[in-house]
Amino acid sequence: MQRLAVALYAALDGSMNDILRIENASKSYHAPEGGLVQALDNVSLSVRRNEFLTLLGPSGCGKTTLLRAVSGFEALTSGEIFIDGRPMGSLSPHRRPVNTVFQRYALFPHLTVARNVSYSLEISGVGKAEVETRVGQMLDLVGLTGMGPRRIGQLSGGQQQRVALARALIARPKILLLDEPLSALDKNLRHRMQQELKRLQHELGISFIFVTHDQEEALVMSDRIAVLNGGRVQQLDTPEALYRRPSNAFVARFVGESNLLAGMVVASDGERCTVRLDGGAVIEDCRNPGLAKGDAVQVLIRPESIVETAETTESGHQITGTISESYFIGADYHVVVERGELPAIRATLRAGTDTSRLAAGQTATLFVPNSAAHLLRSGSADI
Amino acid sequence: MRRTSWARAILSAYGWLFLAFIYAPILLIVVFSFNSNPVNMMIWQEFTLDWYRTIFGFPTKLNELTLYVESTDQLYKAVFNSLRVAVTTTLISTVLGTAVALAVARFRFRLRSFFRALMFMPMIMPDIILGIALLIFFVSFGFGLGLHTIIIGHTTFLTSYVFIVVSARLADMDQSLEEASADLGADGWTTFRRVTLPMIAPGVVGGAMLAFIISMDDLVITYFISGVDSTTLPVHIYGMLRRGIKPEINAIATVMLVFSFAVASIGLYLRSRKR
Amino acid sequence: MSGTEQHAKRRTKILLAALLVGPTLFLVVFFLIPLTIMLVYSWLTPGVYGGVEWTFSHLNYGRILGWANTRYEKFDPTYLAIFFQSVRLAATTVLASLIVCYPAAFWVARMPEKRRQFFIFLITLPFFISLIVRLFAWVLILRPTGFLNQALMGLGLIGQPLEIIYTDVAVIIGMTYVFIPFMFLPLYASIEKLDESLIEASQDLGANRIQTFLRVVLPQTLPGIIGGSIIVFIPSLGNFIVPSVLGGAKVVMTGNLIEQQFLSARNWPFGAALGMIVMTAVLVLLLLYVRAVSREDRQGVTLPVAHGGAK
Repeated sequence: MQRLAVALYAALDGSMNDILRIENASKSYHAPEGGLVQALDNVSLSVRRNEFLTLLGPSGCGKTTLLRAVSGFEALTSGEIFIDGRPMGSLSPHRRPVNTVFQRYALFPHLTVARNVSYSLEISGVGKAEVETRVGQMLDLVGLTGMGPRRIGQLSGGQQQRVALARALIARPKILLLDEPLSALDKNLRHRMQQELKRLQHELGISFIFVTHDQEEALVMSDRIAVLNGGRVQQLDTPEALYRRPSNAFVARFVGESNLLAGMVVASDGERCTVRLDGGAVIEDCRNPGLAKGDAVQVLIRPESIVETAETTESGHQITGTISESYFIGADYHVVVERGELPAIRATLRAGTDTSRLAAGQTATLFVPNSAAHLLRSGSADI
Repeated sequence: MRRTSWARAILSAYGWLFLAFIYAPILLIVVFSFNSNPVNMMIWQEFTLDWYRTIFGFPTKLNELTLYVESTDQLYKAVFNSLRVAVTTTLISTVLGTAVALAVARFRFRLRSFFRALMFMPMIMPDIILGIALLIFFVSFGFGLGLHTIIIGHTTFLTSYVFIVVSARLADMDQSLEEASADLGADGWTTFRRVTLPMIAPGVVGGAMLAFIISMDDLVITYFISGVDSTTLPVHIYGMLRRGIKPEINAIATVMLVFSFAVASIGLYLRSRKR
Repeated sequence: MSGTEQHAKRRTKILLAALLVGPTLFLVVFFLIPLTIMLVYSWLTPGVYGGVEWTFSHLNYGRILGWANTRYEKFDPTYLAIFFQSVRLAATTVLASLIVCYPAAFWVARMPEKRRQFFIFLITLPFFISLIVRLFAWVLILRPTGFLNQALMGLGLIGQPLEIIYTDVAVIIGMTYVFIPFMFLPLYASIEKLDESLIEASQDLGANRIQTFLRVVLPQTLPGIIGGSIIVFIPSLGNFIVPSVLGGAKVVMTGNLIEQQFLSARNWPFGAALGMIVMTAVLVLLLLYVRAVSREDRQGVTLPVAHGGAK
């Protein structure tokens, strides 16, 4: 009976599920040229057990600072970090139960692959036999079987990456931190490694916190994504939610391509509302993000949701203009439609057999279904 | 992090201690060159400029106390010799060293590594070996020892120093500038004159200054290959030291110090600016 | 090859020759030949009244190394003893300067870029002052009536003046002081190249500061340590000024022996033989170093070229 109660309690109390909890983390420092830089501004977020979480944002947004605060290389000005319920305080990095895969791997050039991987075990005094076994297992896990005696200088970028992974994972950390580890790899290798990392995370059941500025990468790999800008978390959500229902214009623009059109709420009944775009078009039946009649609003329309011809049952509005740019990307055409004084529209259209009508210079009439519109509060460029 | 800041503090403290260790002897000399105590230079008696007066040849009341006054003529002769040697050898070694640096840096030829090694050899050898080798050489071929032998001796190793400095400058220099010059129509000599030479000029000057200072300072090699009449300043001071410690040495040392500092500062400053 | 290409090639050759003929001639005549003559002299017989007789003799080496047993030339183990003492003093100097310079090099390497340049300037500046002046300062400091003893006695720390000058310790202090920039600069160069992220990685993996230093920093700065050690060892081995000024007649190194042979004893062949012994030691050391460099190269780590002079 008691165990049931504990289990129920654990299930209900989400915090027991959290391997990492960051509470009100702020970091500021004095820039060399003068002035105060706010690297992190009151950031709070949690990472669940067995979760692949990505910190996504442009350079300077604070994602690396946050990562380093977790690993202990950056001290917070205020706020607290809890790993598995235990506050980290000012605990130095070598005592924390997290390990990092560094951006440029930071492999020890004077040690072999095997000695690099076994480093943390040697530090903690694990016996030679056990070290050998675990190193072997680790190398197998990352696909580097038999490469133990090799020197770092002899390895390719991808191989070095795996050594860095093996080295960080062998100590069975509670969380693995990855600081843009794939940025040095070429495109194909990167795609493969993305899948590898995802598989690894699933297999090991360790939470991964992954830092990147590449939104595509984030979408592919993550269970959840935290979008950061200006030291603040803009949105923390699953990839789909982030893409379909961004909470502000920054997220909308950062993740995926977007059209952001200004407009005004002309009618509202609480849950749904009608918006009139500045250009005159009216969009009905939109999900109301808490606006009242007369409020300014920004309407997000993803390029791929624009079509050439409407389905018979769909409601929406037409846009007409001249194609100023047209890019053929295999399965689709990306086009930019200029509409004179109205804002240009980006659309991604399926390439059919007759594509001459989508060439630059052509007039185009496209259809925007009402269901494609997602409303953002106006002036919400940033939280 | 709180923890690293005391480690940093200790390192900093050590650093300053290190600097103090380096500068302490020098400061001591300067300070005590103004000490009028003729017997024990390290016990402060009173401030005086007399030692400076002595070395510059002005009469002072302290002269009467010392039993044997070093002739200032000899001192001046030694300074003059040092300067003559330094200027001459600087000129020669700068030309030779720059020539080799240019050859090694800009041409591909079979003996390239040999020349690089040849340039390194004089610097790697202990002075005394060079000194005695040159001494044997000069005497067995009947060269009398004098300023000319000192000049030759200095040039052998100073060429290496100039080579190193100019080579570094050539390596640092962006070769695509020479290519651009050629691309724009300048022939080899013009490119050298208008592009290469101006760009390596700071390096050549730096190398020359280095050579000058080292020549002025050289003791061991000069000691072996200078004749009776051709003493240089360092050798002269060494002789003074062997004959007994005299307070004037402090003053001489301070003057040399100021001079060396000035030249070295200019040299190092130029080198770091043009980088 | 076309006519113009041939012409250009010839022009290049002429230019190259013009650049190299002067220096080559000069160095061959005034550097390589003197060294060769020194080698030759070491195998000649010393003349009775100084000077040299052009007859082959191996006894110069015999006196040093053990096989001389004639009326005039006898083996004296003192020569070897002095040589090994020189090795010992040189090695101690290397160790001392390592210990003194390493933390300082670390300190400077950790500074922001601009400050670094200034401090390197500050550290190397005193060493442009004449050697004899700097050694003179140490005489004044280490004498029984010198600054150090005055200060220690004044502070009441000692009752009697310490006998430092004219001992091994004084010579080591002197040599360490004089060779500071030769140890500092290679160390600094090596430490500066150290990848900060390696230190972080080591800490990330659980190593504390000491472990990180021993396992990562030290191995990574080894090239600088070795380079600096060699640049300091070589001039220390053959030094005669420092033992002469700070060691008096009590500390005799091979350099002093050589000087005696040339300037007072006038036994040049013997002096040359002593010189060759020192040269051989230096060359062997350099050979080992070059071997180590090429081995490291093949393993993918590079050692810096040891610059700096044996001044």
